[in-house]
Order: sequence, then C-alpha cells, then structure tokens
Amino acid sequence: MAENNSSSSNKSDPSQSWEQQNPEIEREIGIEEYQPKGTLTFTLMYLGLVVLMWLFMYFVEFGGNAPSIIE
Amino acid sequence: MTFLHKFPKAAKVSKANFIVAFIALGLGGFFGFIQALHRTGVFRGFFNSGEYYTLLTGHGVLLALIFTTFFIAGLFVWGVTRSLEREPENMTFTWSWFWIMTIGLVMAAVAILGGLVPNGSIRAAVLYTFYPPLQAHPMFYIGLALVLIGSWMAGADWFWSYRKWREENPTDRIPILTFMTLFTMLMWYVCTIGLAIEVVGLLIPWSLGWVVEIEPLLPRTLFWFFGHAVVYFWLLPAYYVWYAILPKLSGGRLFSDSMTRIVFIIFLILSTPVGYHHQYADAGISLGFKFYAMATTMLLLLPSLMTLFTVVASMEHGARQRGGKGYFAWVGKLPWDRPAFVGCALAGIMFAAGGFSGMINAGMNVNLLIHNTLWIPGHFHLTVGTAVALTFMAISYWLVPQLTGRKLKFKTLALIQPYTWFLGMTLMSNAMHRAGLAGVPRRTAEPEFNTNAMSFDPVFGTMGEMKWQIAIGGTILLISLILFLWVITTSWLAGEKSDKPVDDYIPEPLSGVEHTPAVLDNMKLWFALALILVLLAYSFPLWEMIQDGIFEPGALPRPS
Repeated sequence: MAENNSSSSNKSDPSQSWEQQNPEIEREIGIEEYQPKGTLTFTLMYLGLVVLMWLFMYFVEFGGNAPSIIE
Repeated sequence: MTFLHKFPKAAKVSKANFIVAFIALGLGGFFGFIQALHRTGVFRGFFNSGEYYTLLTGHGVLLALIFTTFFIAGLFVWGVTRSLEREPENMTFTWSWFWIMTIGLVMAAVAILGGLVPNGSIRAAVLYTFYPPLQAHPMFYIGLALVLIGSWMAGADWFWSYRKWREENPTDRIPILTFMTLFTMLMWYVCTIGLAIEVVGLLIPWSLGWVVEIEPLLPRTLFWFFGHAVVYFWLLPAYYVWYAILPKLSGGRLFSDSMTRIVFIIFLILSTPVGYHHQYADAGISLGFKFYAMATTMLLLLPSLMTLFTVVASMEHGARQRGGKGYFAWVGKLPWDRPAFVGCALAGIMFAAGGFSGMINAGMNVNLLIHNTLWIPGHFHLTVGTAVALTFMAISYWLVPQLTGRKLKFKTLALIQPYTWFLGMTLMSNAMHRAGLAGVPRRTAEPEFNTNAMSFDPVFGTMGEMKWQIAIGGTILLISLILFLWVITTSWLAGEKSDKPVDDYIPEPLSGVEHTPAVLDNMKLWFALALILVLLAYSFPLWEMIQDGIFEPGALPRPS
C-alpha cells in the first residue's frame, strides 16, 4: 500500500513511523516480536463453539429422532 | 488535503454512487420493517398479504442488488483512484456506466413498485431470485440487464486505469487496494455469465411473449450459477474494508499482504462452481454434481477462516500497540468509541455467527432440515444484512468525510448506530434461525396459513417469543437505519468544512508486499483456473438440460 502521500495524524517528522507520530499508540510492535496469542485463543474458542453447535444440529435433529415414515 | 481535494473528479463519481446506494438502503430497509411486522402478524395494516410479495421483492432487489452494487462501485472508485494515484481515464466513459446502472435501477424499481398500484399492469413480484415460473414485466428484466452491463463497464474502467498505471510502472507490484478490486471484478465477470444468459437469452424473450412456455430448471440453474458468487461480490468489498482499513482504525497494521492476496484468489477460483448448493432439493441435477458443489463450498470456508485469523490478528496488533495485554484483556484497548471501528468489528462478530449457519446450509444432508425455512433469511441477515451492510454503513463514517471534505456531525448518534444494528439483528436473526428449525417457512406473508391444523414445534423457546423478537428486532433495525441516514445526510450537507476531516492515512502491512510471491499477481493464470473449474461443474449438467430444447419441457408463467 504505497500510501505515503496521504496525511497522517500529527505528521511532523517524515523520518518517524506512523506509530511514532500517533499519540494513541504506546509502543510500536514489529512483525518479529508480535505473537497473536489472543487471536489463537479466540480462534480455538470459535472452533469449539462451531463443533458444539454442529453436534447439536446433527444429534438433536437427526440422531435424536427415529426415522420419519410418511404414511 | 483529503481525497476530495486530490481527486475531485473521482470523488464526484464516488459520491453519486453513494447517493443512489443510500436511497436504495433507506427504501429497502423500510420495506423490511413492514415485512417484519406483517409476517409475524403484529401489524398488517400497511399493505395486504398479496402486496407483501411486492415489498419482499423490493426489499431484496433494492438492498441485495442495488444498495450493494452502487456502494461497491463508489468504494472501488475511491480505492483504485487512491492506490494508483490517478483519476479515471475518461470521465465520459465513467459517467456513462454510472448512468446506465442508474437508468436500469429506475426501470427495475418502477416495475416492482408498480405492484402497489391497484389494477396496474406493471408488476414484478418475482422475489430477489426472479426465476421462472414467476414472471415479471419486461421492464424489470431489461432494467436488471442494464445494471449488469453498467457494472461490467465499471470493472472495465478500473482495468483501464490499471493498464495505464502498469505502462508507467512496469515493475511495481499491484497496490493491494487495486488488487482486491480487480480480483473481485474478475470473479464478477465469471459469475455474471450465467445471469446474462438467463436474463437476455431466456427471461426477456419469455416476458415479451415471444415464447409462451419456459423450462423452470434451466434459468433456475443459471441464476444459481450467479446466485452464490454474488454473495462474495457483496462480501469481498467488506473484506476489502476489513483488510485494508480496519487494522488502521484499530491502531495497528494489516498482518500480512500475501494472506490477503491468497484469500482473494481463492474466492475468484471457487465462488462460482458452488451454485448447486442452493439446489440440493431440486430434481433434475444429479447427486454427483451436488456433491461436487458441496465439496467446493466447504473449501470456500478456508479463505473465510483465513480472514478470521488475519483480521483478528491485525486488530490484536492494534490493541497491543495501544497498550493491550493478555489473552482477552487486549480487546478492551480497541477503540470502542469510534463508530467506523465499532461497526466493522460488530459486523465481523456477526459474520462469525453467520459462518456457523452457513456451514449447516452447505451440508447436503443437514441442509434439508432448514431448506426454504426462515433459517435461511436468518442466515443471510447475518452475512449480507450485517457483515456487509453494517461494514458499508460504518466505513461511510470514514469515507464520506473524505469525499465531501466535511467532518462527521452527531458523532454520538453515529456511535449508537452500529450498536443498535447489532442489537436489532441479534434479536431478529436468532429468532429467525430457531423459527426455521421449527419449520416456519420463508417468503410467506402469513406463515400460519400454510400450516392449517399443524402446529410448529420449536426446539428452543416458544413461537410467541420468536414472533416478538423478530418484530422488535426489525423495529430496532429501522431506528438504526434512520440514525445512519440522519448522520450521513446532515454531515454531507452541513458538516464543518475541513482540509483533513478524517485521518485517512493507511500504514504498510506488517508483512509487506516484499514477502509476497509474484505469481499471486498473475491475473491470467487465476482467471483461467476459475473458468476451468466452472466448466467442470456446469458444462455437462447444462448440456443435459438443453437436450429437449432450450425452452422445453415448458411451464406456463405463475400466477397464470
């Protein structure tokens, strides 16, 4: 995204990164040090939820009922 | 300096598209509110149950086809112009596609609304899917064909800009905003082949009376050739926002450029050969092709789950840069007081729930449990009705100031709006899903009428509670929609003028384009692969369907 022509918050020194110029950012985190462990946690929770919901759908609706016979 | 000042011509085109999109959103959303009250039986005084189907068609066409297409066109004009740093190549051409789409939209809308005129001859109560044997006035089909042609020209316009840019930058990688636009449009070109053949080759001659009877299965199959990929035509621009803009709104950077490109490529390849999963209950298509579609559909979960990872990881990056810590606590550091961020984030959460019901829809056996029930509208109100619509509304709070050079007004109302949408949709959609499990049909003005002496058997909750959740949820959604239109209209007309109404800078991704393999930018390769998979899925069944003649075995239009 070559977007360097766009304005940034508090842009004063072009040698500074976007993070350094942004007062809301406490520290800049690079690709090497970033560990998305929160994302992993949420992804595993979502996986667990989907499996449970699927089991619910399958067993309550199919496994839990006798075969339907239309007379 | 913001977008308006740098690219005034493109800003005007984007604004024109957004105006049409927001009018369609207001009208279509109002129809939805009436439907929620009507079909639950809470209030049926607006229109009678025959006219319900006209409103239902208006709701579906104005929101799913018109609001989306025009908003996407405005968004892509913004993105292509900005990332290639050039205005559209020929403004006459650009305005011509806008006006062709608009004329088409007006024709389709007049045909639909004609159904509300007593004893009128112009009608189009054919529902959003508009396949036979339901028949509309020819003006409806011709209007839709014009919208389609206009959208193709819009895509050609962006490819034109790209070619010109490429001549001047022969070695540069495609900027990510343009990459996402072009791949979305390639997918659009593949899937709209089916729609064009259906509308021009079958429906227009049939509606003009040149042929009397029509085969129901062939146009239905051609519609679903287009009809599932179109959901990705809506969704990919929402992904575009989540990948390109949401990380910055979170205070961070996009996690990976190459992941983004791979996701768009997979959607191009797999979006179209999945259409039979809407036809699991149709006789006349062999089980093997339905199974092929199911396998392809399940594969399509992959890019959406990759998106889940990349987008959440990008947001987490922002939260940690803002001082977030721990496994869960970082979520609290996200900017939950900014409407553009909040809308996109809540839309993403809703999409995760929609992902679950989508997996049920995709399974060939479990699908029969919910086929043609209210579960299905419950599902797509989470996906297109929230993941897409709420993202579009939310990002308007960030885009419209750039296009108008005016600051947003009523920021508190703008902040309340996505939360109310989320609340309204939570009530309405969960009840629709559960009502579907209980067997309540979709597309029915008076669902109790169908059942005669039979009673619905809810798995969870009671029918009365579901009815009120749908009616109250629909009402809250209308309130949210009014808030949105109020904030946007007042900001557009009377917001404070500013050179920099919003911080529009987009930082580079964490893992940038320098780590992205060059083959991912090879459009010819991926486009060819997409066509091959479509041929595998569709050539034999379509060939089989036309063995008796294109319009045979025929059926009369309904109601006849």
